Amino acid sequence: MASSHHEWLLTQLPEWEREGLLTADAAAVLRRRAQAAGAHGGQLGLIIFGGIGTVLVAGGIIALLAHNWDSFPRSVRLILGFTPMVTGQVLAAWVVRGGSAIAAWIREAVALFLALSTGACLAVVSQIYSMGGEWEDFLLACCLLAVPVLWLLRSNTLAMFYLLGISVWVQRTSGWWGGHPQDENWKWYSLLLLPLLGWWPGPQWRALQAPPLGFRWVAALCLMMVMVARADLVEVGSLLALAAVYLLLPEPGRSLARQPFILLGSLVLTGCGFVLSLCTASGDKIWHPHKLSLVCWPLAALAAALAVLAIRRHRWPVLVLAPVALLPALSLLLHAGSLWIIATLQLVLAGVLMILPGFRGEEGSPRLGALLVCAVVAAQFANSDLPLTAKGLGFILVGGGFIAFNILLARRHRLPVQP
Amino acid sequence: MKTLSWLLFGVMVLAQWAAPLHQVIKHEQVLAEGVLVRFKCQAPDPYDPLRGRYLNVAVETARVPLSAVKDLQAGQEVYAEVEIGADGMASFGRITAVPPSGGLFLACRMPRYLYDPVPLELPIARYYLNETAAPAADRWLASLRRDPSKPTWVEVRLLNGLAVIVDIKHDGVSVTEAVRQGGK
Repeated sequence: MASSHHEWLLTQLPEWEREGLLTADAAAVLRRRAQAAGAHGGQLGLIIFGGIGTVLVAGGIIALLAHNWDSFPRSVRLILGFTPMVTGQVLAAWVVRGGSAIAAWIREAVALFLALSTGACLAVVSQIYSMGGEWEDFLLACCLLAVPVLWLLRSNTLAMFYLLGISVWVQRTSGWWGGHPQDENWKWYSLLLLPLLGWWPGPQWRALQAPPLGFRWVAALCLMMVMVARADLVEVGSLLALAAVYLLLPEPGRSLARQPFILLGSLVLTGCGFVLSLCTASGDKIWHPHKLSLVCWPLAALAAALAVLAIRRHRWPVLVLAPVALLPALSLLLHAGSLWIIATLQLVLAGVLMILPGFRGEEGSPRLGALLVCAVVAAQFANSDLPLTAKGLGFILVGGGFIAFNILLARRHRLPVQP
Repeated sequence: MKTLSWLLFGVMVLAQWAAPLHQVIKHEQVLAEGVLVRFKCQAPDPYDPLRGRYLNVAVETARVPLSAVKDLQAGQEVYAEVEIGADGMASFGRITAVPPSGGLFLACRMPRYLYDPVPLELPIARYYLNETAAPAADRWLASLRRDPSKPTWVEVRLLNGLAVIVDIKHDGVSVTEAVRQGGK
């Protein structure tokens, strides 16, 4: 809940107490909860501003020294290069010693400062000796040296920076900008997974918690970005397998905005399903697996394992949508003329399964499901050889049906109709 | 848990010191024990967003015929034998995949794409100067470039295939000295 919601709740509590809606005890419990959650939200601001402050201080110190740089002998320049890193290490030791008594924002700021100052030290040494090398190598060295820092200080901010850095590095060294097909190997993917070890709780693995929402967003986007960049080099199968894994992950959160993996997975697979549902005329094979990626198989196995978990949790819409990832492979056996029917049915069925729980009073996404069904039907109308007037009537019918459904759903839930 | 944290802290500090210190020791050894060689070059001034301004040292003899490296692959690390000419300037001889057993040589890399002549990727491609000195040096060198009898060269200390730039000079005048004196 956002901190504004907590503030609103705190303002409402006295009134509810007066009206007899809440007992004094219940109001006191709610007040304590809202205040605690509000304080947690405030810490996020402190973390962000702590991080910005650290970057500014480090930048300012570097600028001041840079102004007089040439007048210092080499030994002094080296000492100056190492000093911020040593300061960061002393601060890190203080944080480790303090343990859980140290505030989260201080831990984050120290981690960021240490990682940046280590990078600055490398840059200074490289500059003093006029060393060659590309900036991608420097970025990789900085990222790798940041790994123990983010493990030790459990820094979410640094983990996000690490993921972004590694993704950029993978893109630059193996993606569209200069990759070689023989570059395909495990290091890209294992490097992306390194920060996750920091959250491993050890023997009490059942206490494993999902990483924070911000980190999950960055991780989901970075991994997808890397896979998209390598899709031309490897093959589209891995990208779709990854999307299926995303979709099937049992991610916490009540809305799609708080479930980045599920949102991205469903967007990729729905998009793929739409493209395939419109391939009615093509007689060509859609997929040309010139080279099967090694990463495709473990991803497919992981998706299968997650599918079993999804069956046990009755996540039916997800289970219908996830097999869209298999359709390109199915095109090797089937003519595209029959493939579009399967893709269309899958999308419609996924939409219907999203609608049904809403009518049974359970948790679901009925409006999203209706939107998916309407979009599929409208796309089929648009893609058909029907005359324009028939297409127009079709659109009116689909649009009308969507509006009627929205009203019906609102009445059922006794909610006012939203414009 | 605390012991594990301190252990990880130790590993972290070790790695953070080892990476730059290894480079410092290696390059200081080259500066102290390396042989001084000179390569004719050009040195315009580009910009690196992470490490600031530098002179892009383009060694004139770094382009070798494709036939001389036909057994080598794109992107491969190679070793270029360094030969000193009668004018005291260095140039590259044989390019091999393994380090030569003796003599002067420089470890470098084949480019990612091969064409004739092949531009070797040398580790002495950058000479860092500050934000004001680099463009001033660029202007100074550009103003002197018209006279071919007075070459520009890069002075390099060379040891076991590793090189460290000492200075860039034009007709014996150090570029850093010239910039310090206002490019006269």
